[in-house]
Amino acid sequence: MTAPTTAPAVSVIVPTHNRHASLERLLDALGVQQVPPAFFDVIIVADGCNDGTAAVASLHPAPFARRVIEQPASGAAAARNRGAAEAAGRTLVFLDDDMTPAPGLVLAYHRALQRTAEGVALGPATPVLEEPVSHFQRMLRLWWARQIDRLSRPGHRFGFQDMLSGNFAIGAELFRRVGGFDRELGCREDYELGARLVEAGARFIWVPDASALHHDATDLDRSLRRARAEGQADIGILRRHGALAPALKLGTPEHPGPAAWLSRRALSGSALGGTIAHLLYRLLAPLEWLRMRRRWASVYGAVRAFWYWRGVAEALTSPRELELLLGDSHVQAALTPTPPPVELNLQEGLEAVEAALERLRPAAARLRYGGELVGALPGRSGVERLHGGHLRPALEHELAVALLCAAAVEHAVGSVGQSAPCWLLPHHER
Amino acid sequence: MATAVLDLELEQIPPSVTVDARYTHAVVLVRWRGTPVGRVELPVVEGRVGDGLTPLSDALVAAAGWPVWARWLDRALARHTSPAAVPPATVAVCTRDRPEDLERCLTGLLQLPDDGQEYLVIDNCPRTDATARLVAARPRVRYVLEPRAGLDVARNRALREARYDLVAFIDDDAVPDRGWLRGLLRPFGDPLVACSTGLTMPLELETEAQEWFERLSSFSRGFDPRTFELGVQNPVVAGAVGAGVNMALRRSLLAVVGEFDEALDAGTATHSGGDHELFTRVLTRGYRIAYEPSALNWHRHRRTWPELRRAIYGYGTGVYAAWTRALLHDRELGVLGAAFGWLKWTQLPNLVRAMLRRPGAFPLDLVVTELRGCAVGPFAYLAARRRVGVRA
Repeated sequence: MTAPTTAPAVSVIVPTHNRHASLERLLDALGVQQVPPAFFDVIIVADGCNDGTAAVASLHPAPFARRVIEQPASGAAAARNRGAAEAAGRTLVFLDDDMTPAPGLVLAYHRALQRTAEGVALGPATPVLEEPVSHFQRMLRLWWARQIDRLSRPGHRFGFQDMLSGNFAIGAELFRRVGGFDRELGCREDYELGARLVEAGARFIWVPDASALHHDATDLDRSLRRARAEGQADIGILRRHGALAPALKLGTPEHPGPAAWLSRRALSGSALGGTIAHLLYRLLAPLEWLRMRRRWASVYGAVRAFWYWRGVAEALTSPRELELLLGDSHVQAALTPTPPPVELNLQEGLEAVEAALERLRPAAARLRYGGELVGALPGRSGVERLHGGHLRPALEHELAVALLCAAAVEHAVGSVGQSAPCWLLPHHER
Repeated sequence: MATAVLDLELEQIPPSVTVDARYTHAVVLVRWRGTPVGRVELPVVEGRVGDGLTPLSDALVAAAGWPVWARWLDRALARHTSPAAVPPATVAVCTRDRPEDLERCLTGLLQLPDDGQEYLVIDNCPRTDATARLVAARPRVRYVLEPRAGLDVARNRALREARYDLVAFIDDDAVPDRGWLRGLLRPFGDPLVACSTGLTMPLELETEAQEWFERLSSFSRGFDPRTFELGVQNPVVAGAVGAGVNMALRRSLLAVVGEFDEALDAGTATHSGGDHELFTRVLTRGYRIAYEPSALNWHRHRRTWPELRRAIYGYGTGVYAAWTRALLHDRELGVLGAAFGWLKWTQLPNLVRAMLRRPGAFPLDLVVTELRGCAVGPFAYLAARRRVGVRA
């Protein structure tokens, strides 16, 4: 295959570890993208593979240019960084090896990022499971569906925890500027990257056409191991970004109940806690058999909380460190001057307010209608700054009642028979 | 004591609406720009709808409540969400010896906007060829004869005969609204939605039996779209998510969930419950059921009191039969709690109120009939299952 003479517009980076069959499926899907093959290249980073992945990747028939890089086992974050370092494309698309991209994925990402400067594009990754499916997998599938519903809602304000590295795209220049993934974190390195992107003022875009099927092999046991790794990772994130404490699970106390009891035992390293957690874990299968779904959910929640907090405890250098870290973050939050929310008046017209949000990109805003206060779009740690696209959905949902009341006070709101109240139209349309 | 059924558009309300003097009440479906937003009951005084004091439009807006303002605000904020393309679907009507009702239904179906849908009539175990002749006169409608009696048998036949992946069902005694099919198919953009249900209003409330049917088993679940799934909805209480009079299914997901249980529903010893039992299975397998109020159709309730009693009896039998199947096939122990809860919180209080003749209580014979139906339900299921020869 002759090397293309010009750099491709898009580089697709695939970190992979001993999943050559999955990788082949991904390469097949990349072979039928709706863009000409010269438009993108694929960089496969074989991270500590010993199942012939590198050979499979090199020999797989494909119309696009590809590069296969082998490295000793260093983790997915390091593999992604390595792929990005070698990539020539202006847009980087990251895909995990258990994803099957839709034919329109590369084109959709490219278009989305062309339109948006400093953009980070996220696409839906719908899980596909093979029947028969366990109750855990059913609930996981529904959880993913709810996540996608949430992210695809118009006007959603993206937070660092919406960043999922299995299917996303970013401009190469932005990726390098923020420094890529943090290799030291065992998992949730995508959340940590998300935090830095939010701080850098990046603009998150949801791209529904950049969809992929996620052949998720997570099962109950894996999810518990993952919970432990997440506990460890959250300490890493807390150390790097103290201000994010309120948004992390370890920054909020558990609801009183079995989960709270177990979380305290997990933190203290008590053996009794471990025994109880193990017994509850054994209870899950009979509860599933008896179709006692609500009980199953609360038992699973408690066991999962236990392993998360066990992970937290393992990552702490001393038992008191968590208190110190959380205390530091409170102090930090108190001392950091937060800019006051921007005051905006809806009477100037929706377009004018949207333009102001685009120009200022404030962390928080207060909306008035004339002399009446409508409401606030509050700042939240780890959540992206406001832009024009957030206004109308907020007015329609969270602030709907307040908006109508404020408008009613300022003018008499006309009968519902009017097609649109004149005060919501821009000046030239009145 | 008849009730007029009206369909009014908020943007074009006449100053007063008059109906025939025999009506004492009116039930109004309130629309805003074609979309159903509310349902109001108003008194009728000397043929004029409304209490004579409040202007009609104010009464309707006030009673419809927030959904009107939410949609009005959506329009005012000019958020242009372009409607997704509607995929072609199969519209299936399962019928048995009801040619007058079927004719009305088909007339309504043939007036729907053409999105490439096909129409299918499953004639279930007919005594005459009236239905066959009726359908033959309408070349756009495909006719299939299913000789084995049973509504679920007919539904399964419809699923097998359908050309498209999405199959919409409407009862032969219902009439679709103009936006019915598009509304019903809209939720299927979400790949986890295996089933959608819609809003059903009464076509007429001329007789006391029809009014009681409407009170006892209203098909309305509100005017906001909702999604039902595990964790949000108890799968065993499937009556809350919809009814077979107005539903659509995705055939490809039914391969996982399974077909309708042919021991259930009209035409078998269990009389009803086939639709609810399938909804339960859709939910327990981890899929979603979407309720879409803009998928509106109008159902002609049974007119006479004996028919009403049979329907209520059949409803009780069907619920318990469906629960029996869930318990025996799928080990859904939750049916025991659901049955107990229904008895304790609804059926027994209704019975006591009826016996004490409290105002507003349901008629005693209907309450008792429902309980008798429930008692028979499990045995009816077992008998019907033996007849079908269905294996576990």
